[in-house]
Amino acid sequence: MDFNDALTQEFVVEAREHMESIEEDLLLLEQQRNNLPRELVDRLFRAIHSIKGSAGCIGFQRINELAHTMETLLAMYRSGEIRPEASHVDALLAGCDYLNRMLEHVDKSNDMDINVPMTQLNALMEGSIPIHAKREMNTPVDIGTIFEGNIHLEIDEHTLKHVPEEHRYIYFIRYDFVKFMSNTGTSPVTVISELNKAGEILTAQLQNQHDDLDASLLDSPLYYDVLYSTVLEPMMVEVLCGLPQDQIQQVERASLDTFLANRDGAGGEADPAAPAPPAEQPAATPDTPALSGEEVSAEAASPVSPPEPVPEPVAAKPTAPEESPEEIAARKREQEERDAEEARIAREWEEELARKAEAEQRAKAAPPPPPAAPPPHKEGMTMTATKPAVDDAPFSFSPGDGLDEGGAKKNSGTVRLSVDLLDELMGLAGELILARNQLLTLSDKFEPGTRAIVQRLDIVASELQEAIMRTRMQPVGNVFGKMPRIVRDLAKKLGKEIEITMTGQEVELDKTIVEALTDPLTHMIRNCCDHGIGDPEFRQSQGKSRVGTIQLHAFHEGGQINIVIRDDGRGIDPERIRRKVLERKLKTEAELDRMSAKEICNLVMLPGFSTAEQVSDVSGRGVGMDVVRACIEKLGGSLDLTSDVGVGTTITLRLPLTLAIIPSLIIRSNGRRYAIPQVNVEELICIYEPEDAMKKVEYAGDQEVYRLRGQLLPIVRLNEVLGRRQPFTEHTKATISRQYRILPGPDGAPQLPEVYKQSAEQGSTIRRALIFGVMNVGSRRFGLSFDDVIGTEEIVVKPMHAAVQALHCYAGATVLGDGDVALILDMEGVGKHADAMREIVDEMEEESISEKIKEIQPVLLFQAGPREQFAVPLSIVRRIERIDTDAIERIGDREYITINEISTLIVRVDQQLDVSPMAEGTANLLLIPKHIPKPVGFLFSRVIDVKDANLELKDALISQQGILGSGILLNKMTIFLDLFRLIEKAEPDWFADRKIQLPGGKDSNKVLLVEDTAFFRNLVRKYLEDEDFEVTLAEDGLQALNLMREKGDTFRLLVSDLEMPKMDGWELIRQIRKTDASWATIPSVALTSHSSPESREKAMNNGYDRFEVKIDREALLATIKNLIQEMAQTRA
Amino acid sequence: MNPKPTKKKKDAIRQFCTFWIGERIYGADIQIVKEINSERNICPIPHATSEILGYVNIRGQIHLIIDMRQRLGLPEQPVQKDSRLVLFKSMSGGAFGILVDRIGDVIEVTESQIEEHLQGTDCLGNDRVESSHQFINGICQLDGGLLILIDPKLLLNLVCASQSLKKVPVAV
Repeated sequence: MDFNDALTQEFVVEAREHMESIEEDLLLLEQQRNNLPRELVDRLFRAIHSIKGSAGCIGFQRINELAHTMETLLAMYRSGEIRPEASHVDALLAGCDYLNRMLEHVDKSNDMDINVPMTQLNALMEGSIPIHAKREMNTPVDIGTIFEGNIHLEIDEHTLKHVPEEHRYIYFIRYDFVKFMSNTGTSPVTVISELNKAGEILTAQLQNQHDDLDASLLDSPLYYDVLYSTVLEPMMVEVLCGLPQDQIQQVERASLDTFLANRDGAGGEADPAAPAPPAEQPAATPDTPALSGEEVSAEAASPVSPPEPVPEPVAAKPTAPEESPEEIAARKREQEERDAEEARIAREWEEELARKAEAEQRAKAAPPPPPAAPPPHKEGMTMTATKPAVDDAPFSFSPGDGLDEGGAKKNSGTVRLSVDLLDELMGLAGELILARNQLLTLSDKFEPGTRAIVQRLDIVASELQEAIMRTRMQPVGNVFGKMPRIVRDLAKKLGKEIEITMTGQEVELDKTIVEALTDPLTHMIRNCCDHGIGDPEFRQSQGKSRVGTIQLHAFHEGGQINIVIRDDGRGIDPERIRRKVLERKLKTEAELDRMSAKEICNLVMLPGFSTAEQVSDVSGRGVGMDVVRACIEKLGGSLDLTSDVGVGTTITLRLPLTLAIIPSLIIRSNGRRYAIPQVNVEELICIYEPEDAMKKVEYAGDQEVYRLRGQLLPIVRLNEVLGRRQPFTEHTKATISRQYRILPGPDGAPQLPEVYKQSAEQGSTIRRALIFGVMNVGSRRFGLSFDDVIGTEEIVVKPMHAAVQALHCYAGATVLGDGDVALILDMEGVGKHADAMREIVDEMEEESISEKIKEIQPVLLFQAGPREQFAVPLSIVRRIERIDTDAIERIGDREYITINEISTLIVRVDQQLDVSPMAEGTANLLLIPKHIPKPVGFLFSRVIDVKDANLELKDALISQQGILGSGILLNKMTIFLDLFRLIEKAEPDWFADRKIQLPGGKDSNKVLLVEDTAFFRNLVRKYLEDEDFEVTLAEDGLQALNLMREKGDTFRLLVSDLEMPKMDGWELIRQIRKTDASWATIPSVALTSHSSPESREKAMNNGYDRFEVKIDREALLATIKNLIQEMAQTRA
Repeated sequence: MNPKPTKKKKDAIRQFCTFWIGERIYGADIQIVKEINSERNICPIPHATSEILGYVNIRGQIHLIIDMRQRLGLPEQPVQKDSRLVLFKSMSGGAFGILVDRIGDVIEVTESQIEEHLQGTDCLGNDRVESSHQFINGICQLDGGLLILIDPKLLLNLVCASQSLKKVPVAV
């Protein structure tokens, strides 16, 4: 039984592989059917032929039958009898579906009903196969007679006549599978596939057909007779099939041809009535230049009737050529005589074989004698032995189609392995790494010589682990490959014309991910076809081509894999989504008003949403994008959707390379460490002062919420979540929020509840009121507060033990770098446990909040010299580095320090401005700003705080280059620094080439700057004024438009913010471009605080010439310079 | 691979790894015991029932540890100097083990000495139906007392069943 199972298993795996290539190739066939590459047809033929052969050999009759019928049709293409048509491909694909289904339930395959595809295929062939070919096919030939001994092998005439021309030899091979397998350990499936690699099995028969190859039957011989055509010489064939010479008989091609010609000659006389179709032959041959002239003539002369028919089958077949009763009788007599003769020979042959088998049986017990031609035991040997022969052989496929290499590539040197083994290897590698780590900690105590060895072990272990990880990687093309078929079928069904283009199939992902990707990807592609791309007529009316395109693109980016699915269909109409969402009461009107168009589009991923007005059976109801999203998120990925009405829809999937290792944030709660998958973490927020916490944490019902940039974020306290086994109820939440509520004490100062003090003691050394991460789970966000952040780490995920899998707050466990175990939190589980996944109703008015927030920005307060307090907006601080003052190097009058192997220029504020100098030894912090093209840092001595500051600055008090203005913070006068100016002062050479040359001199330097935030208004004005522009200010779009109307002609440049009250920047530029005044063509630059490709595109589409980020001074000025020059050129 | 040989011969000798929990001595077939370990660094799993002590890292492999005192309803006590982890082979259900008070000797017992444990009775044969004891698959009279034989697979099933939140009464 085991034996049989193993054989079946092998067959299924092999057949599946073939099926994959068959589907692909059928689609190719459809595309190239007018200019059919011979190689393609051959490949198809061989693949289906292999399936047929193995299925027949193991006893899967139905699979064998269906494959045989499909093969027959393919054989017709190959011989050029018929040309493939679209309907053929449909039928063949349908056949593939059935084969796949049968392979899936291979044990029941013999009971399956395959009438549908069989009838379909037969009907097609009935209709299109030329009569003479049909007749040939139905004419069995007993080929056995051209070999010696009693060989009875039936083959239809058509196959025989169309043996590929380059196959110079025909062999008869007799395997005894029982003996063969026990001798060589090679299974029949392998035998068949090996043979098919180097030639073609014309026909094969399993003698004394057992029901199955059960182990109990292994004692009696099991003969498998093969008629095999190949280019290989006899010697090679012996090696190939691993049999001694006496089990192989060969005839040269020429004798076969003679044999056929003789038959034809005889047949011609026997049946003069049969019409010779000379006209058909030339019509069919041009497609197959490889066919020899000899064969054509032989066939043209062939009047097709069989000279030595096996009476019974011929009579049974309805399409057999008509014969007179006398002829049949005559032939019968002839046949009977022959049979008698054959029977005699058969007896002899069988006796001889039996003797041999017996001898071998005996020999097996004793040490095995060396066979005449030692059978190769390994596949590799066979391959090396046959390869040169194949290369030398005069393969003559249709010239110049260059597909040969492609075919060869498919047989790359691979080994099939069980995934369990890989997993085991992975686990062992993990243990090795751990042992190595322990060894490394001891390595200080080693002798120098030993240390080198430990180091080498270290390197090898790391590389080993990496290599093992790679074994699990599979190209994403494995999933992509299924898409063309789906698109094709759907397009047909829906009456649309759709093309799919794919790139990046070679990008590799973890096997688990690749496998899990099939369903969501299929669903999205279906969506594209069904909802995205319109009917050809509709598309035409929209001025698009009739054929819609779907692009499927995979690529690496930042340690993740991105998969982009883009269609050029009608896109998603936010208005329609809105209506639907309202209709289904998924969101309220107020909520929708607050959303951007993009956010609204993403609502299609809400559970229970389907956009098609008419629910079709293609995308169906029920499963929607929400399921897709759930799938992707389960894999640790994310999904993003953008759409332009009338232009198309783009869905971007971001997936981790592997599930086994994920980047994660390590935090501490109640003294224990936990890992949070980084994919869930949006940002970390830390509030130090209890006053701030008191002000910023609000209460929506019983839920603590934090107002983050105008949005309410429920706060989940991890300590409480982990401390309570039962999911939270309203009561629980009320208890918690009461416990944590900070209330003003009698003196007005905030009083910290007991619970804060506890957590502070257990956790960190710094006292913090509240620290939390903003967690993103699907469409929901919440703040998860914990005691401390420890850092980020790439962790190896181990699944939870089955006994504790019911606990939904964990995604798994991991071993941290120091060997401790940490639990990995499942954010969805945590959010649900804490009942924080619900929408929170915002009671405060939006307007007032956003107004307040705009002018208030967090600033970093710091000190350099002992006297002054400086401030810079936090948004331009990249990071702060602690440095060793001794490491500062002096070159000329400049100072440098090496940070992360990058030489960084040091700017001292006290050297550029008239402020108190830093005391020696205190200067040990370096502020690295953003948006500076070269490495530079500002030296200072102490961070004071981060405070929200009103950026309406008074700039008259202190006026020095490099100072933006001043304000009062923490009861102290604070100088707001202009870091860009300071760098420029310190290093003027860096900016020398950027000076803007204004064409037209002093009169034409007027710029209109539109910006609602005072801080940025002043900042950008300063940038521009430094470049000798004369700046006119406007606070919103409306004001700007009025200014343009008044004196538009005098402005040479418009620089405008986008998001503004009254009239936004997009509307402003549309209004300007719409007028026919002379100033309608004014060069314009859009400014924004958030740069994204979408916002850039939107700005450009509305009429802006350029797009820049506000605080990136260098880029802004370079852009302006560039724009002005360009304008001058076009004007000239 | 079954700890109980399929053909029971009365005189077949089986070896049991024994350990003390509270006042009693228990045993597990030596064929299913992977190792005895004295690792103490255990990561608790919040939300799990109290009998689950937590996860422990044994040479890179994470094992789930069950506190036998809790399982048997014995009074809680901190991990002692003699406390050990008995880890079972994965065929008993993934990587897991139990915390016991102290390890005893390996004891050889003939099959005839083992009495089948009756369902619905506790380890001492009393008529107390207590689900917490349904992982016992035999008892064995020894000179020094009664050896209670446990089946880790049954133990794990019991622990697993008690994790589901529905079965626990809502906390007040």
